[in-house]
Amino acid sequence: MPSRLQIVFWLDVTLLLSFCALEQVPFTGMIVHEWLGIVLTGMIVAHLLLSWTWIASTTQRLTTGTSHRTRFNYLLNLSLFACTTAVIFSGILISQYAIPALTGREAATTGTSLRWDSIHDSCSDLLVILAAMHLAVNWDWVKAAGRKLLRRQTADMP
Amino acid sequence: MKQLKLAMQRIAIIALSAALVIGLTEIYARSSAPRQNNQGERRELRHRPPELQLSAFPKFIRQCAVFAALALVGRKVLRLRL
Repeated sequence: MPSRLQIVFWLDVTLLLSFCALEQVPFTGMIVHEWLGIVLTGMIVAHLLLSWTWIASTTQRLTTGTSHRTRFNYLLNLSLFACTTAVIFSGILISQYAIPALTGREAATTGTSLRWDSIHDSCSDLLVILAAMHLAVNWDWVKAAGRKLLRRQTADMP
Repeated sequence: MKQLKLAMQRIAIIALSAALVIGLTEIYARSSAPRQNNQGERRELRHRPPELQLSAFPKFIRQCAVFAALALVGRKVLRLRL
């Protein structure tokens, strides 16, 4: 049974790689792009649920006063959430393959797509910067978790 | 059972927050002027490949590198400022 740390770490690594793949439509193609986007939505919900203790405690501490770093991190994560939601929602509206296959409705017409396509593109560009900042802020945790898992794996080796 | 109920409550909070963002995005989309429906954009939309293009794998690597570079810059900046 994998430990909580293993689940969180590998989920985050998968999220990061999927995110980079989603940013390159010429590589994934539209079909993989759309289905991967749907899978990513589930992974983001799981990521949020696994980080709930931090979210809840920081939200409470925001009113009573906390460090500038925590405030910045909270604002960054909030922007990341808003941006991700906008990207997912606009992605659903302009979907040509996955959403029509799931719902049975017709794919969006080019006219409707263009407006939402523009929002989808601008928000994903912003998302790259925000996600990179998110990684930068949490880099110490990533490093520590990676080291811990590597040490554990080495210790388990016969 | 208790944990499942707790998870469902948290998912509901996430969904509500997402609904709020979606509402704001819709307001923004309605208020912003539609982009010119030009031929170039139509052509670009039509030419997005539907299937996986393994030949474009270097683009994925490049994207990862750009992301890593941005994170590195962020790390340097945050170390200086925070």
